[in-house]
Amino acid sequence: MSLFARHDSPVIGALFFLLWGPILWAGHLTIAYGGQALLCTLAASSADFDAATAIRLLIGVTTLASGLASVFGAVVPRLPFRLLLRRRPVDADDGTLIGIMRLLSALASLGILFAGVTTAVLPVCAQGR
Amino acid sequence: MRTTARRSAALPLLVIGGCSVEQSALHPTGAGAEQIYSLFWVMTIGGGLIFAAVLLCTLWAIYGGSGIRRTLSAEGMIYGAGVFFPAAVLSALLGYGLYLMQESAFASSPTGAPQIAVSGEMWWWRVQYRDAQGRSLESANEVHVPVGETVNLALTTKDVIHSFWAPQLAGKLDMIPGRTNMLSVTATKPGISRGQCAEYCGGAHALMSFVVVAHPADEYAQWLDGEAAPAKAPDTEREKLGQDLFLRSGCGACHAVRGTAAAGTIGPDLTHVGSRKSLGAATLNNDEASFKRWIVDNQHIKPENGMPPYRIFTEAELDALAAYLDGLA
Ligand code: HEC
Ligand SMILES: [Cu+2]
Repeated sequence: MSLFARHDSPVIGALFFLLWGPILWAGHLTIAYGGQALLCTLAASSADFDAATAIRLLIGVTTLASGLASVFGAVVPRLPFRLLLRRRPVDADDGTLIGIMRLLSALASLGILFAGVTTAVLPVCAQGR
Repeated sequence: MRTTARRSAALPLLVIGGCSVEQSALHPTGAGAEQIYSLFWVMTIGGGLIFAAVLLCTLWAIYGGSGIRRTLSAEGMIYGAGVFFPAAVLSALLGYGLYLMQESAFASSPTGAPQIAVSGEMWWWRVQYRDAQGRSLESANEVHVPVGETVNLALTTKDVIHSFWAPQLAGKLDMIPGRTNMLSVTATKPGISRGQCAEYCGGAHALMSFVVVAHPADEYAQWLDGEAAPAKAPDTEREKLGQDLFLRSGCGACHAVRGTAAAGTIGPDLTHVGSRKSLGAATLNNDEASFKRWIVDNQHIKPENGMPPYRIFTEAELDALAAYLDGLA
């Protein structure tokens, strides 16, 4: 695995770099679904808790934050690269790593957008069919 | 009649085909089912075309020259067909899905529409109609709706989770303990179709079906009037004997026949059972022979169902009982 195993940079850093988008996406999903379920449960048990606003706020903020971070990774991969691998990209292997990372980040951005938009469009705590 | 009864008793498989009314999502006769039907074709044809294109590219790559392979593996092709195309298709589907969910899944049921309460009970359906005049009446295993008018079905369950699915009318909706799920349906064509419990609910789940009857609007009012009326009094001596047997044998502990002393609520209301299309939740046809078979042999016909088999009657008594029940039109 010449792609990861280089004596001069941390393997785990390369993995996190590669999965920049998917990790953000997973975080977003966890917070969006978990937060929504939690806040709706809270709302069901207390009358004066405004779940709709709280949920829209929570999901709006996490969608914006994780979405921007993911897009940022796809557009300017060099920064996260240096942050996580603690060096500059040098050769074709690094180029491949960056290419895959950008692709995954772009797809993750779409996934984050999809999940975020759904909360904005549909009723928040309603039981659908 | 009797020979048919005996023959099919020997062939339990026939029982399943007993009620030969159509049940197919591919012949929609309701607004919800029509939406699902179009969606089905859009998805099937769309998915089929994409699948064919992928196969074609694969064959092309295998059997075409190196020029073709170079075109197919070009960066533009990878990004275009591999990323942008799926992203665009998925985005369009998401938009469409969100639109549909707002239109149907989260739409509030129209207020003031006629309401029918359907309760799933292992393994049959209790159906209660409430009309505009506030009349409430009970029937079973059949859902009658007027064509062209939206009706709210209030779906509940007495025991476990069931799922109400009338594929020609609308999508399926679960019946969940402690909850009332509203399903708004609009029949678009008159006719009879079949529905089915679509959530495994125990032993006789597969035999928990029902019949949907969509009436033209004026006929519906007429039907409802007939259904609201008490049971017809026995016409003949035989039917009279049948009624006596019914009332004396304890049937009334579980079954109601409005207008008589029978007022049980454990089993299906039998006030107009003779006019129904089926017996045992669309398990048997509705005729005298089937009534007899059901009374004697229901635990073989529909294992584990909530009615005990009755082997105490003579053939003549069974005939009388069946004539009485069949006469309850
Ligand atoms: C212990 C309660 C009980 C008693 C007593 C009982 N039944 Fe039933 N009966 C049921 C139940 C429950 C069903 C529904 C079975 C199913 O389809 O799962 C049923 C179904 C039926 C049906 C079919 C109704 C329909 O619309 O599908 C007929 C007809 C019937 N019973 C007649 C009788 C007669 C006649 C007697 C008396 C000899 C009788 N029952 C006694 C519980 C009872
Ligand atoms: Cu079932």
